[in-house]
Amino acid sequence: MTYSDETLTAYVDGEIDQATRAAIDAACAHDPQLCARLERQRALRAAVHASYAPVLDEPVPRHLLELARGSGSASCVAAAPVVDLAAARAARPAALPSRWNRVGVWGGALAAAVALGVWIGSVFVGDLSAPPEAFAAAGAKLLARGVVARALDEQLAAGQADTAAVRVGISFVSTGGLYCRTFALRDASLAGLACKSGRDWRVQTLTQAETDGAQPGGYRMAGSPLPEAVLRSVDRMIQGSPLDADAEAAARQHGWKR
Amino acid sequence: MTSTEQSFRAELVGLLPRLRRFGRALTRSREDADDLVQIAVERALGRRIQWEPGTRLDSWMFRIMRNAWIDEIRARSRRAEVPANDDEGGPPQAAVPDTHLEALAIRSAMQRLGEDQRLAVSLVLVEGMPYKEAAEVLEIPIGTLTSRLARARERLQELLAEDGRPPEPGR
Repeated sequence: MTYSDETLTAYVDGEIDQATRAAIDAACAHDPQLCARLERQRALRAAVHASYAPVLDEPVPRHLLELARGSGSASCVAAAPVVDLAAARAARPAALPSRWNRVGVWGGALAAAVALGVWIGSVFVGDLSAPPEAFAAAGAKLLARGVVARALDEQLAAGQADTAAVRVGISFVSTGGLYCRTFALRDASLAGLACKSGRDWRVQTLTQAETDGAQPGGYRMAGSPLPEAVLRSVDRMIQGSPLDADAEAAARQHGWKR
Repeated sequence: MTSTEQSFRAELVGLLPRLRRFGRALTRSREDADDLVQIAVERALGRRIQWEPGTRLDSWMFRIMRNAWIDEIRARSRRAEVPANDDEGGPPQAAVPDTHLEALAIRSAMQRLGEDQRLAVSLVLVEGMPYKEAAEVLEIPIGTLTSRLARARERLQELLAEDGRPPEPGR
């Protein structure tokens, strides 16, 4: 019995009835050629699937998250405050690809971008400037990953290298009883606040840090204050005072669990 | 916001990573893919009442994306534009170089398929949809889908062989 390519692909796609599957398996046992064809199809399916799988681990761009969620206020990521509007406006021409200005179907996207206003350009989690594996969306939550998660887990505020990709700022216990820490990404001009919830650092606030005019994109944590949006979140969430160096070290010792 | 809208939006947010993946398989660039997702989400929100709760939202979204993408391709061909291709950089990934190269070869082979074949492969191989749902998204009979899939795979194997990188069995 010869099997068509369509039958073999249906087999590897799991779209074949039990009887045919059993017949093919049996035939395969003494027909190496059939087996090889089947294996090629299986490998192709796996390879095609695998080649796009990493997209799932990429952070979802902020503007898409906000669009799907509705207004930012309902989200777990704090709404960018009014103080960020100017920065958003300044960033917008660069953030919008020029091709968005073309007419056509994509015109709808441009209109939406204008309507979304502050969201476009103000905080672009998925923008090229952010390290690709720094954040991940899990449902409606944004989680710290990669360098950011590592820094939050391991770095103490004292003795951080000036060259560290991520610098940790204030650590505190939230009113909800979680350890929370502020952080800033050196190269991406992003700063935020994340709280340890279970195994993950859940990002509560993420905002574009003010950039040094003389060094576009070259945000310097040292000597420059945290963006106001982050400080406001700290004010809103903090229980008592920020942790001192000893308390911070003790918290790290306990894996940021209380 | 009503509670039905809230749950609709929540489900939509959960789907975003998959919509982006589907978009990446259809288009050649991350920007096009995310623009496509944005348009689809806008359209979905605009016609939310047309969606029947309890049916697959992913199928519904994929159909909206497919239609938007076909519109865009037509608009571009009228404007005689070549879609942007930034895939040489590939999506960021911490893969070992060999896997990375294979993924790159496969994505570039995907882009050389015709739209119909790429849509079929994107739904079934990339998104793992059952034939029935994929055929519904594409509004074609299952028989047409299966032959399209078989031809698309044959073409992919050829393209990968030209590239000198057929996917290795047994991995």
